[in-house]
Amino acid sequence: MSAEPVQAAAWTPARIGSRLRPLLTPYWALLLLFALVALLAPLIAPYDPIQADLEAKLLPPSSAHLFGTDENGMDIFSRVLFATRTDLVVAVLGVAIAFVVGVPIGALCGYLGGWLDELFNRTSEIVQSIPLFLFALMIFAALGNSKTILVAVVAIVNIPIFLKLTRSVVQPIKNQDYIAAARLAGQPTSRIVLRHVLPNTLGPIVSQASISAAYAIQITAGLAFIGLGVELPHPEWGSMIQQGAPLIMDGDWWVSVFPGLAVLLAVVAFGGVGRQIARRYDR
Amino acid sequence: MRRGFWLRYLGRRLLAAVLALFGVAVIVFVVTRLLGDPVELILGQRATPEQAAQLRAELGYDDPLPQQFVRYIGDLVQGDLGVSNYTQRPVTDEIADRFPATLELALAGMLLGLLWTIPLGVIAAQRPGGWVDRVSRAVAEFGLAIPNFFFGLLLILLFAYALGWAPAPVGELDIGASPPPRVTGMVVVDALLAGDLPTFWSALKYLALPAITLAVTSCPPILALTRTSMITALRSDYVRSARAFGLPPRTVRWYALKNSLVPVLTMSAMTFGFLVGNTVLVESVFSWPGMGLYSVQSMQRFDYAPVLGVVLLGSAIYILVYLLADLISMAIDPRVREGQT
Repeated sequence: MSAEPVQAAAWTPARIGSRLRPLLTPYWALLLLFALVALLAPLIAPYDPIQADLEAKLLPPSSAHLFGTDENGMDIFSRVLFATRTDLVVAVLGVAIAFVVGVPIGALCGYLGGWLDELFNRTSEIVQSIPLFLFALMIFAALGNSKTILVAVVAIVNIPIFLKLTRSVVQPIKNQDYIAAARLAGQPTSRIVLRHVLPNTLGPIVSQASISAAYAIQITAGLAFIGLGVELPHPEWGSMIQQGAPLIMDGDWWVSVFPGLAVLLAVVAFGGVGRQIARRYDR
Repeated sequence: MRRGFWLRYLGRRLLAAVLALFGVAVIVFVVTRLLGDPVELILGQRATPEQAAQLRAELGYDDPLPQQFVRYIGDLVQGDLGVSNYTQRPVTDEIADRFPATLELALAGMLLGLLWTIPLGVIAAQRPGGWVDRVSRAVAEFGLAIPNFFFGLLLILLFAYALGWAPAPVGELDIGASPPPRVTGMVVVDALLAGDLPTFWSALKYLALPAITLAVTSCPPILALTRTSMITALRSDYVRSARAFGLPPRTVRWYALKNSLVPVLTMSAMTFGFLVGNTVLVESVFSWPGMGLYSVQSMQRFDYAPVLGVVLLGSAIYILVYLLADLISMAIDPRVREGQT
């Protein structure tokens, strides 16, 4: 992690090339693939994801249905593609909200210290001591079952993570000379934190955002698996796995396995990118 | 001097734990009574306004909030978690019936988890970057990335459906089989205590897959920590001295292991605390009759008192196990002790 102020440099072709090189790793490629699938799902999907076809129930994978069909005769390949939209949007939106809320508060806590810091830090620890899925169950019980609540749950469980992380990376920076200089120049605290402190701590925070998105996908799918957040037949990976769970002992594996692999790959992609960013800033 | 320090430390940690428990209770109160409507939680959304008003008055939800809060905390302190709408029994009793199954699953998962992560971490640390290290890291990454409910389903597909080694996921015992006399509530242990070997064997088979699921998906952080901790120990001065004295490699390894296990112990305890509250999805996959499945079923029946009870209990266990882990590492590691003074 660098404590030097960020410096602008000329954007020569070589520099742009070296900046883009990380995109050539498998994790980034996979992430890009998921983004493309989410954007282009209607163009790639061979079938309507919620079109039931009672003539084609529980067909194993074939050339007509690459991933087979489910109990309603819906095409699982098309559903897995469309579900990318649901899971990615919920995860990314939830983490983005957590980022926007957690990072500034964490930065202020780390920069100012004192009772404010103590209050937010303790509250974060308490929220984190409630087991995640039980916490989610409680929120759903109190506020109703909807996709909005699902995004809110993903955001709430991630806020303490961003808050504590930002706090811990801001603390060592606040005593640097250039911060003291800004303070002596009479700049207001909010400006110092936003313009001088935060930009120099973004590496670990951005890396955490990617790792959080990976867990957010697991959480989204997990909650949908127990019937929370999304309603059938809306395509979503976790609820598709749930649909296939009772069929496993009949040997109809494809209903659960393909959406499950999609979750696994998405988690690997986001997690891998996060770790890669962390390594870049670690040096 | 020393004793006084210990008591002060113990007091401070206990106070922190009690405050954390109180904090969890406050959060549950705020979420359910300020953000949500408790009467709607109890009656469901189909109740008429008259019914709702009557229940509101009966349960004292018309009282001022501070008064409600005091009563709520008072009930909690006495272990009163309300009544289940579905069975009309006290939630405390219902949870007490199901908690042993969760505990059994979490213990078994933890045990299996330690059995694969610690040895692998120690071996990987002997040659960082070697093939054992790389393979174990890949396995750990896989375990963390795969959703536990999906991994459980894959195990069922492979071992129950395809190979037939494990029974279908219907709970702790064959459907219709009579459970052993209840002593601990953990079927495997009770069968053993009753000397009922066939039941013991059958229960063990049911326990295997969910326990493996937890061991693979929840314990990778222990592997990573064992590895780093062991590498640090092997590079330390006391290990170099021990080698220089010509002690056999096996003895040297033992020295390093003993010293690197303290953080691993703390991490393991935390993982266990985490496991007890996070078996929800795995219990759902395996129809495991613990408190996780109970909370999901209650949720589906719009029966919310049990959900809140399980939330409070799960959090309390996490906080207490965390406290215990802290105290133990404090007791056995002088370095941690000195860091505190």
